[in-house]
Amino acid sequence: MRHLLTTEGMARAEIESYLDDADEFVDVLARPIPKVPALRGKTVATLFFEPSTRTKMSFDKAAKALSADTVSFSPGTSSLKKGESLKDTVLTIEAMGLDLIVVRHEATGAPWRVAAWASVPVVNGGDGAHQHPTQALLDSLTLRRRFGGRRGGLDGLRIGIVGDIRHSRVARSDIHAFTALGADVTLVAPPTLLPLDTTGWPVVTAGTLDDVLPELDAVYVLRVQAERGGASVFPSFAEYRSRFGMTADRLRRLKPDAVVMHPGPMIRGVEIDAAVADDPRCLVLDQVANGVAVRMAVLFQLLGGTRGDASRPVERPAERVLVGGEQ
Amino acid sequence: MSATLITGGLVLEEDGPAVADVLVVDGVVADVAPDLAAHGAEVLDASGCWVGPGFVDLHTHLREPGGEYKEDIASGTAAAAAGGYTAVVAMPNTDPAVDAGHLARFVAERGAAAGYVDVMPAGCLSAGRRGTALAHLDELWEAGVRLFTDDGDSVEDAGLLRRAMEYLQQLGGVVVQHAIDRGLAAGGHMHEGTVSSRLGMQGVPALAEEIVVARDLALVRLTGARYHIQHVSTAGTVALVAEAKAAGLPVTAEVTPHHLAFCHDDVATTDPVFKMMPPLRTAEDRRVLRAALEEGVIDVVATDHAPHAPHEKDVPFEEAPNGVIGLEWAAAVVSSVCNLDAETFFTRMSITPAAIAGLADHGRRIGPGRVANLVVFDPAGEWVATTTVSRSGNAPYLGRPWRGSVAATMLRGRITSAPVGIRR
Amino acid sequence: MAQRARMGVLASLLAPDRRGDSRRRPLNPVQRGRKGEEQHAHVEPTRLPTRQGAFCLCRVVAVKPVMDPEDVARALRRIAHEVLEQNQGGDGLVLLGIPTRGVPLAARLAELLEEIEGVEVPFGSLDIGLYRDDLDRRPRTALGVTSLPVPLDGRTVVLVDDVLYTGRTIRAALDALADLGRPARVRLAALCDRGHRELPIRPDYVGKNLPTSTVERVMVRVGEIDGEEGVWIESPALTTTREEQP
Repeated sequence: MRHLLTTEGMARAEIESYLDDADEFVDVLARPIPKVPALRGKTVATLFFEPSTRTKMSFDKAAKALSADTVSFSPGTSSLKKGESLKDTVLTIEAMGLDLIVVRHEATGAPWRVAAWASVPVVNGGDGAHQHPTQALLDSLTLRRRFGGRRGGLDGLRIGIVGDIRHSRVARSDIHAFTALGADVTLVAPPTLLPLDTTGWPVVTAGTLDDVLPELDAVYVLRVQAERGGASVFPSFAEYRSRFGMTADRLRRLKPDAVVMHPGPMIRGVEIDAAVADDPRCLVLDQVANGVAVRMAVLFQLLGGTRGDASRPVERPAERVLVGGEQ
Repeated sequence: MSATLITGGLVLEEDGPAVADVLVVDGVVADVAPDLAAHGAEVLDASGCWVGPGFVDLHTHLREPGGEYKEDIASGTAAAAAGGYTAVVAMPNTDPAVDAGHLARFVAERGAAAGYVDVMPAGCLSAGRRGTALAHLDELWEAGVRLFTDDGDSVEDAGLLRRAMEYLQQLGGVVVQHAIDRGLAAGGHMHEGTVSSRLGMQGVPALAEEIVVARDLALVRLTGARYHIQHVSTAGTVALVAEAKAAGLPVTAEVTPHHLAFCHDDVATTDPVFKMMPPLRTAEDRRVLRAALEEGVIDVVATDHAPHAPHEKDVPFEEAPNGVIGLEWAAAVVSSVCNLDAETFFTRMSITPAAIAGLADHGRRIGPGRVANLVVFDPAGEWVATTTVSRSGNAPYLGRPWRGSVAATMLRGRITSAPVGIRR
Repeated sequence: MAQRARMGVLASLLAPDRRGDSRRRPLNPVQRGRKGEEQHAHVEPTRLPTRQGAFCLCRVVAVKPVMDPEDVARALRRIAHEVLEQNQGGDGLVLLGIPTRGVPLAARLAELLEEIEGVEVPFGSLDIGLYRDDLDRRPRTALGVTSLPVPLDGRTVVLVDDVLYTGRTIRAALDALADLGRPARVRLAALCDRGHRELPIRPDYVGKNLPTSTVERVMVRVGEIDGEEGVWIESPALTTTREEQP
């Protein structure tokens, strides 16, 4: 049984296999009837403890496009308000007969706990500031489709991640995925928003965006997270924008083929100007579209072929050992 | 009359370790010499084992009164006996907190009734552990309390700490500090470092401990009070302790088995069984702690045995309470990860802790006329635990092999713990 | 369609892990003996020690070639003629190869149709990975490419596969087609038919009928993917030989 909990330590081949399948699902989603029966009869449960519209809807759409049924639990309306523990919630909904759980939780490591309690595959929809693996996969797919066509990785691509990296699970997942696929990653942030200790991280850090801008193929803009103390670690939004914001002026200084990305939701006028968000080089809408395809690939891989060992070849005639002769 | 003959062990006698038999009659060591005759005594074969004073833990949470669903005095002291202990100091952060004499007496009496180990209650430094006014220190002293701590919280108010030190210095009590600065530690769940950065989790910097210790040592210099640092976790604190001892200050320090065994790389699993305060630090800190224990800069091993019910610990890491249990594994861990000879081993586990607490009948080398509070310890015995004697199961030691097992524990001549495999 | 263009299309249809070299290489038939002759190959010896020396237990595989490259070429040519005969020409045809090896076979069939009739027949690929009935039961394989060269409505679709066996692959292909359009009719061309149908599905055009038992494996190799070309039947056998104690 496989889970998708983190991109840390994921082999390049595994990432590419998700992207390759996702390419096919992009085509499926473009059909007049964007639905295939592959996961018919399966039920996907989404357990979202943090507010989310886009990710939850994306998983929902992905499951339905594969003909799976979906069930959703959110803390506001559920038994969790009555004091039920997370463990009991997981065991209860599993007893109702579910085939996969997607969980988002503000506590780091919660999906690992869920995977320990549940006997079905678990997908991490985002835990604390730690990991958001499907976001990293869809970001990787978007870059690959833009720069590499339908094959391979992101070799040699120079990607800059800008913003509140310290509190960003998207950044942590992206760093592992992008570097595993061969890209060069630069982190751009004020000291208060860089992770405290990046020893051993496969990245370069920079203190100003303008210095690295001309060399980047992709600028990945992170949200300023007000709910994680964003403004309190920086003097003002205006000052943030002037030093780190993706402004129209900075867009002009990018290489002509370079692109801008954002995990959403965007705060126009702070980390990204409206003009940039609406520019054709901003791939946000591609990211969203690719997100459904990537999540289809994830659900398909985790739920298709769950029984059986992939290393065992099929159609092998039964081997029986016969030992005879003198003993 | 009850008599037990412990044969063939390496006995920690007054002059040092020697292979000998120990005859215990009516709770007192009657004779120590090679090849003693049994004369109807029950014989315990201790060949290959060390025989020494039973271990003494300066830092145990028995959770009674108020937290009995996690542990109570009976179950906690049973776990202690299983781990080779004959005496424990019970931390006062119960509900109600032990800040008055009658509560201390309650804890001691419950311990005596259970009969596994001698329980010495510790008392709060401040009333209700609120950190604003002193607790009833005299009353607690009369009730037998010798160690005073707000464990669970540090005493932040330097003025209050100074008054407590001056008061206890007169009585001869020990000021025991849980050294973690509340402001620097706020919101932190693990050590602030490379692993917390990777996990995106808020961390507690090493400085949070060192800053409190540095301040407190200045107050020790001023007042001359006996001062004991709980659960030392950083190399920086070790350096401060070494410096203070070199200056002749009356400072002692303890280290926990979990800080000797694990480091923050283990926390990367996000399993709450590795969550405690102070948190597991770097591998380098761990190396310094082990060396400090071997050399004696750190005086004793103390478990900070902190039981929590399964439903409390089986939650996401950040939501879990701090604490792991350790009474049953302390000796095994020390034996597995440190290089201690029998003399040093018993000094750290029994002799020095008993001296700090002022427990006259514990931590004494084996000799005729002394109360028989003993442990028989096999330093080479390999074992793996899958269950706990404690009511709680939050032990990071489960399922792993350790080298060093308790063959038998004896409290005043009565065997309190004889795990499977004891040879009779 | 020019040969090079056809090869370009074929390259784009082969799934990423098969992309390698889509050129038709000079065919190097592996020396597996002449047609009809059985060869024995040692596979996976297992040594079982006993008191009187060791038994060597070998799973042996008997490999029998049944089609060489010329046979394959002839079969495809005959199929091409049959398609044109039944369709009364080349109009309205679309060939869809089922990945993996059905795809280069479809490309070659399209080439032959153009050669014989002079009409360009569009070809593409139809992956059935999302429509199989045994997703729970077998290990996952990567999805193949589904690429339709033209809309299917009103056309005559010829599905092309290398081996027809239980019929479940074709059943999945029919379900996939239903989601992609409404062909006027669907026909099936298979290079080999090895029998043992589990569903009421029959081929319209067959290269060679191969009576097999269910413990046997039919191995097809095509030049564009495997370098070598041909069809073999693999049968298991078990023998033991005694070995001397050293």
